[in-house]
Amino acid sequence: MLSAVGSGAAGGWRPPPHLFQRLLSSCSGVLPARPQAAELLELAEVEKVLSDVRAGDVRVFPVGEGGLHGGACADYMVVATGRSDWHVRNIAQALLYKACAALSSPFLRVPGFCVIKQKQKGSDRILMPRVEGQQAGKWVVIDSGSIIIHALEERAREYYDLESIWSKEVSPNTSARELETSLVKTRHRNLSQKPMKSI
Amino acid sequence: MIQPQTLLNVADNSGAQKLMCIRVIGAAGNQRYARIGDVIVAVIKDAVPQMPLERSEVIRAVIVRTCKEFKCEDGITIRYDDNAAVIIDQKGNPKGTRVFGAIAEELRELNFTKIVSLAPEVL
Repeated sequence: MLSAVGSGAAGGWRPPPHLFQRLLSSCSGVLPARPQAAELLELAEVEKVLSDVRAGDVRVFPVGEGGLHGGACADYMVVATGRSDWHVRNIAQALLYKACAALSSPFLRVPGFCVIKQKQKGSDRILMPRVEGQQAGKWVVIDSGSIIIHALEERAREYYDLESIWSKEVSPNTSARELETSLVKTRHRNLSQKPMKSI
Repeated sequence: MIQPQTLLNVADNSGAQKLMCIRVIGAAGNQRYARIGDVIVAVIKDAVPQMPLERSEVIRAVIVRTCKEFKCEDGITIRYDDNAAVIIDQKGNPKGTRVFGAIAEELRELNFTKIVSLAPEVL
């Protein structure tokens, strides 16, 4: 792999952009399983971009370790409102642009398309930050690993009511003692026609 | 392994209770089984009254739980006790507002981060 890159550069052959990324990310050594927040989007950057774009009612919910969801999903959930479909899409574009600008590196940039950092997780390579729902515009999710940003239209935000999921506490796991008290002995009432078998 | 005629539970509060799969999206000639993360076309067999969704409506759903074990990339196998799906619209937004049960993290990579973020527990 490495020799191919060397000879390629000398001979003027340029590998296709997606391959070039792969060569680089494989050359750059072992990346951490979960990318650092600094690589993709940081909370402060996100808040700044959202205030620049004039997104309404920005709320941040810490759902990381020790929080809700067991911290498996993400560290922070950011919810923002857009006044219309177009505004929601704009918020998404602004965040993506910011994420691409943050990782400015001459190798990772492909003309005409903002290339996004690849997350190495086992054998899979996932493009981050990931956007969902951008065509529809009602609810756009930007997933950048530890921070997930939800940009919703006003009515969608009322409908889904995401604050109530992440602001109330998860019910604690029932302890063994509670289980004992909850299992009450009941007497079986034989409502069928057949008589009960005598023991 | 969900195929047409499979009955599935509904894992959200959209109003439907039971779905029957009628088609697996992306299956050529419908000869493929659907796994966790696949979208199916289903008909509502049982619904809660006075909700926007009614019985015998044809909707799309994404499978979130299967009795057939699901192997993750890191070697972990997940097997649930029932087959369940979350109803979505044509664009991939969930129809209900809350999702019940534990959801596998793999749905995130398959562009269903909305469902994962609504889930009470993520495996």
